[in-house]
Amino acid sequence: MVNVLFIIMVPLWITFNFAIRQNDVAILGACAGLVVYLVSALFTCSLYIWYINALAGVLWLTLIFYAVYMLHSKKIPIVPGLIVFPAIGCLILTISIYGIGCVLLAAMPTKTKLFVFRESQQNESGVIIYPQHRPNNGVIIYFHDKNETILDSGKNTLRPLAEDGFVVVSIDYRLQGREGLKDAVALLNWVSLRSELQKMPIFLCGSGLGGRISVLTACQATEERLKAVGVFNTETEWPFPDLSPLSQIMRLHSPLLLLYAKDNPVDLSRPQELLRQANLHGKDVSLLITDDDATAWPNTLGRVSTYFLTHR
Amino acid sequence: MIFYYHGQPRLSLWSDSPNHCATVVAMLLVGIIAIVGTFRSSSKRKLLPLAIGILSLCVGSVILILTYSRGGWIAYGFGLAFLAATAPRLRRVCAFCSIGFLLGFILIPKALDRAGSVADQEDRSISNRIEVWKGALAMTAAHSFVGLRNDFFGTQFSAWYQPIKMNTRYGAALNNYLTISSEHGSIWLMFYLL
Repeated sequence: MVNVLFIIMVPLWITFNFAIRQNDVAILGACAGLVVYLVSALFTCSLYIWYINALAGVLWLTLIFYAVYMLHSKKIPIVPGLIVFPAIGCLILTISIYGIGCVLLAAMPTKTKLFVFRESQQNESGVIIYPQHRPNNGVIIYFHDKNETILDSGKNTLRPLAEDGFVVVSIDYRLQGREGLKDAVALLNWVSLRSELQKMPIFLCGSGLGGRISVLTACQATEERLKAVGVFNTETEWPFPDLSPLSQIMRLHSPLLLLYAKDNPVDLSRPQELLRQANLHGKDVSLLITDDDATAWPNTLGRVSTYFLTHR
Repeated sequence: MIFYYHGQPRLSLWSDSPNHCATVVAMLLVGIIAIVGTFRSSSKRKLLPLAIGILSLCVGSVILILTYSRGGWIAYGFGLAFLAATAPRLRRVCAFCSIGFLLGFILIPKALDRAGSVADQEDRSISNRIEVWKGALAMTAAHSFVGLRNDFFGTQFSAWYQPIKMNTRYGAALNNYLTISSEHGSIWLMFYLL
């Protein structure tokens, strides 16, 4: 605030000090109008509104014409401070904004890093979220549902998981079945080769289509650090055998938690059939149907976090 | 013409937002004060323009109060303070305008409550704004050179920087300087300020 005042006030004061000497108070009105314009931008988005900019433009032009007139009539000399003071002020303000931002960034519970996932053919957007003030419990690779992006799942899913002490990785994978699966396997390989994530247990997690991709990825995976899979409201059968968890379940090597909310659209006889098949093949699969509705999503995430913590 | 915020009518005239309306009215008001001061100080007093100016000041002040825009009021206060500090001959006019403005607060219903809410810790408009500013500052630090992208503040803030329990959607940082620095980076902000 002090810096803003400095930037606004110093050059205007220097310029209009001359205006005062000329007894021209009208020009100070234009100057005060610009003060109002700049201060209101601190609290609103007024600088993006055309009629406010137009009015400010008129005031600026008034000032410029006045300054040119004064210079032309040699009533004021060119003042170096008119250029130096605003430049220093702007530099101080910019550094202050950056410095305060760094402090706030360090105080946040999670640290977000956006990246482009180049291992896929289409350079998808990706994100890694690190917990900042908690020990790392492992890496969760999360696959969102078909009508979502990482931006949609960021606040409600990825960050809460990271705040539970997991490094969370997610990408906007291709939503066509086989391409999506290729992206998911490539992401798992990419995570397993990352140096800063070495020695951490890896978990796969997903919702809806993302859950199906998670299970299928786990069925194809050979990574020893893959410890568990947890999926929400996921269809377990699919017409194409290579994309159907039910037909691939005998290849699964990791524990699997199938979690369904009471108001989910999936026919629950299907995961029960998957559970029966898994038991036949001696696989560690759990089915949990909860009373959670959409508003209890944090509870649902908490159940998966707990499941992963017990399978580290 | 009337904007309703939580059931409270706020004057917005031609504008979509009472805050924008308040900014324009406050900018015009300080200009009018200076012009009124010019007429007042001239040797040949021109009564008609002076009367029109005073009437405009009264109407403008009432409009500004009826916008219930706290940012607009604060900006007007800064404008008046600037005029009073730089033009000694306008001090009396500024003082009259300030007194008239404060009288308006007393006479116009709920204006004092609205002004008092600036200091209210539980006012969600203010506490949310502070959270948005914090998020914008963190975004600036995280993407300091080139920023995020134009018009990308809302989605990025909501996904990565907004407190998890806060559900209000924002398209901008409710502060132009922070919106610019988070979307375009610190360097651009510096050039913009220059």
